[in-house]
Amino acid sequence: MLNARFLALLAAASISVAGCAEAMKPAPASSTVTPVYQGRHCGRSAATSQITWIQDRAQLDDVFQRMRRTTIGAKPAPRVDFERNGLVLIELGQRPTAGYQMRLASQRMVMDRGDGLITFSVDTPGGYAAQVITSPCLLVAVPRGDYKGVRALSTDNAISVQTAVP
Amino acid sequence: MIRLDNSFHCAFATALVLTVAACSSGGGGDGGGGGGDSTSTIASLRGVLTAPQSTDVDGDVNEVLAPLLPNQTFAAAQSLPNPVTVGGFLNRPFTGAPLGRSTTSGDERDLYRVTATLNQVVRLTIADEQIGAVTNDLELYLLDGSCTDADPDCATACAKNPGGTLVLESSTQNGNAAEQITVPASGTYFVEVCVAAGASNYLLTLGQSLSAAGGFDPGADFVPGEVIVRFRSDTETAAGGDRSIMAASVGLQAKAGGAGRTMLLDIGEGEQRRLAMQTLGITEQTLTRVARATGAGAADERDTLAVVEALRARPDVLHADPNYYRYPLAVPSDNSYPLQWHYPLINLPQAWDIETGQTNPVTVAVIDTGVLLNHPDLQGKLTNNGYDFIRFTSISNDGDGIDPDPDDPGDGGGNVQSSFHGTHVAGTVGARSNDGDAPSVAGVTWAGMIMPLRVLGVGGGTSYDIMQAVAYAAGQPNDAPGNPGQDQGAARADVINLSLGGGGFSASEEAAYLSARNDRDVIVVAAAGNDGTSNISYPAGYNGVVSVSALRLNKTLAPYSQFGSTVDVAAPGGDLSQDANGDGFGDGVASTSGAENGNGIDFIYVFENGTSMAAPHVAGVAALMRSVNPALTPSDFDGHLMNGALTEDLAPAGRDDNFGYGMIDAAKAVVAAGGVLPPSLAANPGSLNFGTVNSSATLDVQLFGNAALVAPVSASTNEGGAWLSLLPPAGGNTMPGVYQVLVDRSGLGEGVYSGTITLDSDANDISVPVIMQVSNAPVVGNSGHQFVLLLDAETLAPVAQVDLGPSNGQYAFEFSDVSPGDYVILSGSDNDSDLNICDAGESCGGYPDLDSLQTITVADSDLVGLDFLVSYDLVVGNQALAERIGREGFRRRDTAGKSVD
Repeated sequence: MLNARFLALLAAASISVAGCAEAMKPAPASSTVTPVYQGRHCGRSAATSQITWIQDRAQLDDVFQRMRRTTIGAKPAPRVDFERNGLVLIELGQRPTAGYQMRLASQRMVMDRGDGLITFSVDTPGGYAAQVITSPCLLVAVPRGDYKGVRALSTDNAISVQTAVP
Repeated sequence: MIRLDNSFHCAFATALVLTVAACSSGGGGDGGGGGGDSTSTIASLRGVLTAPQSTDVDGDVNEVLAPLLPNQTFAAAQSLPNPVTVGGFLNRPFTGAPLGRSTTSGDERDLYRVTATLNQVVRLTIADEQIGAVTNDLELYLLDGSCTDADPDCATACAKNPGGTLVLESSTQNGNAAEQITVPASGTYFVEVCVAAGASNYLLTLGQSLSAAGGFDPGADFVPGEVIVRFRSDTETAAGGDRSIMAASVGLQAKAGGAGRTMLLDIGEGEQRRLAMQTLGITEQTLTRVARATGAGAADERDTLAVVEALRARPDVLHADPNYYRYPLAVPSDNSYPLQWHYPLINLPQAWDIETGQTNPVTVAVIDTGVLLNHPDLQGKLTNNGYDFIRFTSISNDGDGIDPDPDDPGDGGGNVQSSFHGTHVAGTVGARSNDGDAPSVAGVTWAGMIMPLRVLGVGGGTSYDIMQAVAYAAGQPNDAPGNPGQDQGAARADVINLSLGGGGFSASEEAAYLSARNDRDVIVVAAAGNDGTSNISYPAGYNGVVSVSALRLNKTLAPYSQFGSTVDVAAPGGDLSQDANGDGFGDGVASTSGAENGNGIDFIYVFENGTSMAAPHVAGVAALMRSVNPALTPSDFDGHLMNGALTEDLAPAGRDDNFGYGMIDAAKAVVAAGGVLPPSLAANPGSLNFGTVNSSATLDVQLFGNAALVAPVSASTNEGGAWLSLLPPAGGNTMPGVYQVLVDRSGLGEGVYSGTITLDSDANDISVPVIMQVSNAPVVGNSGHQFVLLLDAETLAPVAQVDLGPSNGQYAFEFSDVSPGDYVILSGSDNDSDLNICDAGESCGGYPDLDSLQTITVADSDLVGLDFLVSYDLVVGNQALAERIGREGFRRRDTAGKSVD
């Protein structure tokens, strides 16, 4: 689901991430990861986790198209400075209740054998949970650099997903 | 579960593992191995796939292993049975999967030859209409049966030479996943499907019109002599926008409307009507045929329908219809109500005709995450005695423990967005309804009140807090300071909705629910759970609690829904992975919600899916029943449910583990509670198809209110002859009941025959269309070239694959050298050759059926009889199933067949 809360945060992030790094400069040993959205309804219907590198407006529109299918009256995707930044969408996959949440474990993306490494944690339901199907995700902005891929790793090492950066 | 015996059940699920009886050994051939204990003996698995009789496959799909039977010319057109569903594929050159047969050359048209009857519908479903940003488009044409390849009048737009006079009908909408044509007269035709852009699987169906769309509903009343017409824009331009000129061009008179919109035309009387008929080419034979086909008795009605039919056949007319009378049906005016498919599905409009919750005050307690008290679509619908029962500040997210503020502060915690789940559930129970144009949705009960009780916070909630809320709602002692819920009389709730759940049976918890039910007469409804298994979720699994499973739009069990012995009833829970109704949104349940915006909360409307969404439909219906009859007890509710008085029974008949006693039917429920339905006549099914083999079927005729049949139920045939007959129930053919409908093919030549069963009552009339085929050659199904996959049951990784074509509608398969272990079997076609079977538009099946795949345990013996059906899913392929078991399960080997992806 991409709704007003998503759009507001996305718009804020598009401002805050601008100027995080010069375009295409070699990445430092670590760089700032800017949370854009942490939500429960991101539209993924498979149970498997997935990471997606979003490098341009067209790709963002595709993601937006998928997410907005659950919201009546959703607004169009905001503008993002893709010259300087890329977006990384990390999706946990479909879960059976509202008890699952993803959180960014560190606001730094460290370099790991040429790839950027982002770490996150996953909350799981403890007791009774709302019986609504969810698809939690994290959407973060990272400065462009010369890393060849991005990997997202859960803090318990249970989930590791990787994508190439064109 | 509403069973009330004293034997507390075992709270543990029984794994759905089918151990197939071992049979004699044997086998050999292609096989896999792996997925089990590789040190043990190996075995063979054998079975037979069956294609439904009315299925066929395009002769030149993209899959190179499938037989090639080109169908790109009229001379080579592929003959189809009737009715039929055909899976096919088309592509422009250099589009589609890279390894396909026609990827480079393109396969831009498929031609089929059919024999069809008046008002049958040809429907094209474009499976891949939108893939990301890429739009693929196919078009549909109906051409005269005399067409040849050399005849320029048979050229369609796909042949870059549109306008052939033998192109009788076309459906070429852009951006639509479905195209549809109504057969204008009985006869033999060519059906052409061609590609306008890109590449796509498709499903082509030829069947009966199941609604008035395209054809006529002879049972519907309309204004004799009036027709509603929309001319094509070029016609309007040519007439200078003058409605009189446009009307005169078809021999009619303009009464209302104008250019750029629909017009109301009059067919005139006397000489004027005669001239109109002449202008439109309507002959006496036409009128006779129309009268016979539609059952139109009066000349005015017959002439009107004949004019509509003639107008529909004209190239200058976009659409034409009778001017139907519409009668009031209680449909709310909320502007998002058209997106709430889940209400008509359970006959709520009919129920609202009787009861919208206004007769007696009823309160439904929504025990959940709390409710956004300021949501505009809940104003006036919330009681002022809601409560927050979350004790732990670590999860309450509002800085305190129990308090009388049930407002939902969110359950996200930190930067994570909140679900506002209780607001969504509350909106389904009873959002402000029928409140005009403002952004809004409708609720099940328009006048019933909602008591918001908060028990779920960050990470969920505890059974103790939930028990306090249940007691509060029931007016029993609880932990709220001063026990404000205790014995509050009218302040207590009549119905409790619990769209929550978890594992672990608790005797004390069950006792609390039973006490609320038995001691305080509260109907308790709960979500069955979303694990997609038979595991028991609580509180739905407790005695005395109505457990609700979730349905998709097509009344099948949602893939995530819990099932099993504790399920009592099913209701719409939605499936966001599909958009079967083409409204542009996933087929979830639309309701109220919220969105954090950094400075506060936006009040919004969203689609969600889950058994959480199904339960409030039932709770809302229970509230309507209690509004009709405040004395209705939970025992009464359960009794009606078990007697089938509240539900539409979904197959199999009687109670089953998927749907309990069936899908909740709001109209039946309010009647069961004492409401009186307006007089009406109903017949189910709405149409009958006997195919080439069947010779009998049943027709259930029902009368509601004080309606009565005013004429004998009768059967007639459109082509003449007496091949269709009826056996009425006891009491004769003027009585409601189950009629046997019989077909006698003796003496009939090959072809397609149609007829009508006519039912007239003093309330409304119904015509049930009947179709039947006579074929000297046996008609067998063909679900296309099959790839049968053996999957490891635990990892769902493919272990082995066989591929094969049909023989007399069946596919005998065998996996040899299979190691002991647990497996599941799937099969499907890959018409687009993308190496995934079971895509939308492709056939699919699983053992024993797709909706309840079972694990096959292989020990040390061969297994046989692993038979199942492979068919097309007319909704959206089997996308939902693919998502449920993981996409890997549908990946097949490439054509080299040496490795499994």
